[in-house]
Amino acid sequence: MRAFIIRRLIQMILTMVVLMTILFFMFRVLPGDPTTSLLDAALPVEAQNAVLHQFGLDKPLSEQYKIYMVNLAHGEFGISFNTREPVSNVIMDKLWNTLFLMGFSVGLALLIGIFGGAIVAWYRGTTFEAVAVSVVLFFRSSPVFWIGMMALSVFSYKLGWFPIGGMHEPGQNLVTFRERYLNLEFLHHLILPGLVGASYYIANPLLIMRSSTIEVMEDDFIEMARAKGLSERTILFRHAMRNSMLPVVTQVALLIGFAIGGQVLVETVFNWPGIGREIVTAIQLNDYPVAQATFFMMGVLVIVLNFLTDLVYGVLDPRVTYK
Amino acid sequence: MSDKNNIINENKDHLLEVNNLRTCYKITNGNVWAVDGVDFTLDAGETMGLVGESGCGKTTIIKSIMRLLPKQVYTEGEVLHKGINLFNLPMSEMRKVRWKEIAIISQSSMNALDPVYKVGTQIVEAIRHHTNKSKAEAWKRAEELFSMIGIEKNRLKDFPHQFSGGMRQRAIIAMALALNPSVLVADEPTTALDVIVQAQILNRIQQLQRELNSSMIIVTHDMSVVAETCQKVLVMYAGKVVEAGPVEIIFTRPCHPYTMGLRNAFPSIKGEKYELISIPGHPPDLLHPLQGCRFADRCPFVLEICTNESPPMRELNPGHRVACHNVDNADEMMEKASQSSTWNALQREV
Amino acid sequence: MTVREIFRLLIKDKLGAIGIGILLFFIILAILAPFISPYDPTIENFRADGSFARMDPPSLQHLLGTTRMGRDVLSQVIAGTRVALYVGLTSAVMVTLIGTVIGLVSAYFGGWVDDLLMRFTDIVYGVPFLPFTMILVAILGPSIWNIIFAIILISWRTTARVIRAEVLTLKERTFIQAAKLTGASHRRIIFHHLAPNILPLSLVYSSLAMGWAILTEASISFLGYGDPFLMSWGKILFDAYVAQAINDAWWWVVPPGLAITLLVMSGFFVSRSLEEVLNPRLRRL
Repeated sequence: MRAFIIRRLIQMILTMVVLMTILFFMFRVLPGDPTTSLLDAALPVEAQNAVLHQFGLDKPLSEQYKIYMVNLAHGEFGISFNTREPVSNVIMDKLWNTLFLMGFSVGLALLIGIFGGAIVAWYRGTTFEAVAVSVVLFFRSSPVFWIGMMALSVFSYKLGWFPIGGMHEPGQNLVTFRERYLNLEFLHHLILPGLVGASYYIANPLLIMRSSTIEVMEDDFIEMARAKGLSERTILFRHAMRNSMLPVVTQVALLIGFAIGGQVLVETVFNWPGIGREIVTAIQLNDYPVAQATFFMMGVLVIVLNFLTDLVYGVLDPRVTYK
Repeated sequence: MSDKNNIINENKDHLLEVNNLRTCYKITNGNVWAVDGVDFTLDAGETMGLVGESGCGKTTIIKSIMRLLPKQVYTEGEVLHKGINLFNLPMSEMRKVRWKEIAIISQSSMNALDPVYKVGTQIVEAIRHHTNKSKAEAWKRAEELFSMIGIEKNRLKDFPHQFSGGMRQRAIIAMALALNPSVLVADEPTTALDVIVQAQILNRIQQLQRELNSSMIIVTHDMSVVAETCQKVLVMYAGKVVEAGPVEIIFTRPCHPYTMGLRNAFPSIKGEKYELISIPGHPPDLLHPLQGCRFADRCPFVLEICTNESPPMRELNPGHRVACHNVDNADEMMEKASQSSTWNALQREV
Repeated sequence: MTVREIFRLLIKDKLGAIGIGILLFFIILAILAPFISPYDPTIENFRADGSFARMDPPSLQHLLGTTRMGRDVLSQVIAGTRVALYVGLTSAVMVTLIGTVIGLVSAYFGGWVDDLLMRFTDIVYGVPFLPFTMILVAILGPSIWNIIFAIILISWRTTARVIRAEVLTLKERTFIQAAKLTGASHRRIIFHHLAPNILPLSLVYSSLAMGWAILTEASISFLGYGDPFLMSWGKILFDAYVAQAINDAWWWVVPPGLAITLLVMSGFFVSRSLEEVLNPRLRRL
């Protein structure tokens, strides 16, 4: 088990290195001169050069790469070209914001997807199944930002049930973790974007769960459970579901990758201050320390969550042992 | 209620009584009567063998009795267990009968255990579903059962994939016996096992059955297993009973050509040697049932009447009944049936 | 199964028929676009009294109303059909081709080829889709070709994985072993024996790829990185969002999104029907 974890950690680091190298070179090719946002053209040339020097932009590419990688390893993300603040300050808070929203959406999608998929499989061939599948496919086929726009229009503007985007009411100075997250106001702001995201992510878990449950119901141990005199409900939830949810767990990795993309869109529509929205602005402003850092965070998130999912799978399926 | 009791006391008090069981599978092209008018009785402590080729309806009978067939399958007839017609029970009551009164050791025991739960947990689940035992008590009972079948009790904490095939089979047996059912049904209990393990399992089952005085139905296509373990035999062909009677008679003086053919086709575990002869041809397509006797096209002794009229069931002796037009020539048929030339003649025609 | 048999079974399934129907509808719409479009989608329109037709609700003159710049929404949606189908079909074809070839080669030859290609696929899997596409488009420029390129670059991985798994099981089947024994060349085995068997599976994923591509292009356009010269459905939504029309002009917001949904859904229906054709156990009894 320990060997497995070590091997995976090495794999993960390797993937990140390859990723970030590609990214480094890609970003250096970005159009738009980063120097323009850094510099005041009115400054004398020496001053301009000094700024360039400060940001390391006057060094040869290979050296920049070395510095970059070393910094990355130390968690040093540099200074934002735009706000002149250390990137970590900018990013860290936003990371938590995204984690909460994404966690809520993905968690909800998995919960409803798994239970819903099992129930839909149970009611196979009925109108309920057809309706449920169609609804789920509808949301999967709709652009999530469009659903978000319409949700805002109906539930926030017209009905006034939810705030019109953002994470908190503006103008507050919230500092502590509790002030920011552990209160009803936050929850109130979280629900609408959370639901919109969940509606987008639910299709895959539900449909996979459905076909997986249909297959599992044919298995011999299900008939055995019936012969033992267990009720149909017990059979569905204790035996069938417990087995059929395994393929869903293997697909959670894909779901998370998908959800990161979704986050970018949801955060943009709802003005949610997370790393999704951040990367959009960063690229627009050619602020590549920030863009790099956000991309890095996203990559790490996907990779770490994948790893955790594999561990969870190992717990859920006793036939699997990691060596 | 008291009327019913009187009726029961008038007849012999059978533990299990099946009357005119008929089961129909509706498929896209038509109807298949997989079980077409089966009767038998089973008393306490008796072991009955239910034999026939694959697809003759044996497993369907068992599933019909336990009402395990899907809703779309049509069943009719009577299944009386301790006087109560199981077909009239609401499902919630039927579930109480399952396992507690009638338990199955199924054919596919390899996969009959849920792979994500420990073996012990699954046995405990069966026990606690039907009794008031606490988890600890149920686990203790599971330990007893495991020692009965010869597996050490800490294996209860293992998962099914950690058991070998034979061990899984034995675990299923243990689970089946957990509630001391009055009727134990073993569906092809030895097909998937090698011969040596087969003998062990059979011995074990018999031993346990004697200890608990349960009745048993052994479903199999292997006559040698029947010879070892059963007191009476029900021979099925294409959904119908062709012959039924005490095991000695079925083996020494069968009166139906099919029974004679079956007997020839299996070697005995004990090793007596006789010529192995197989019955050429294959069972009829039940989608388009033939008029007359269903065995007619494979029978070496077929008469004209056989292809036109379905043979009636006749009771030759108490407890021995046969459905064959030619039954009066049974001795002659038996003589010829033990020679391979009789059967091979058929093959050339086919 | 032959293509004809597959097609027939597809039509029999209601959802499959609906899916193909919607697809055909949009294709015809796209082909006839310049003829049936009531107005030029980029021209500002004026009302009868000479005033600017800004954010007009649906009327007889403008069936789906107008935008803030006075442009006819229906014409824009019709124009968007071409872009959507262009992106969707091109991506679907390329993704299927590349994914299938890679999956096939990887599984068939095995060994280091397989390892290399699969490591490569794994890395691609780790890349967050939308951010990567944004970066690529930001670097290369917001032309539709670059968007399609980015989509193809990331989407082939799913098809490759699936095809590879299928070929791995097929490889062990007796008819392939037999072909090898009789001395069939690699080319013959791949094209004559394996390809027809994985074609249906490829088709399942190509319909999915089409939907995926259309959604991605719409997302990119919505974020502002779309091709400025093309009227795509995503761009219409971008304009609407920027104009803060969510509240006031539902007719501007609903139709393009609905169009995207319908077209992508048709892809899903077709692929699900294909899946049921391939896997009889999923079929309703």
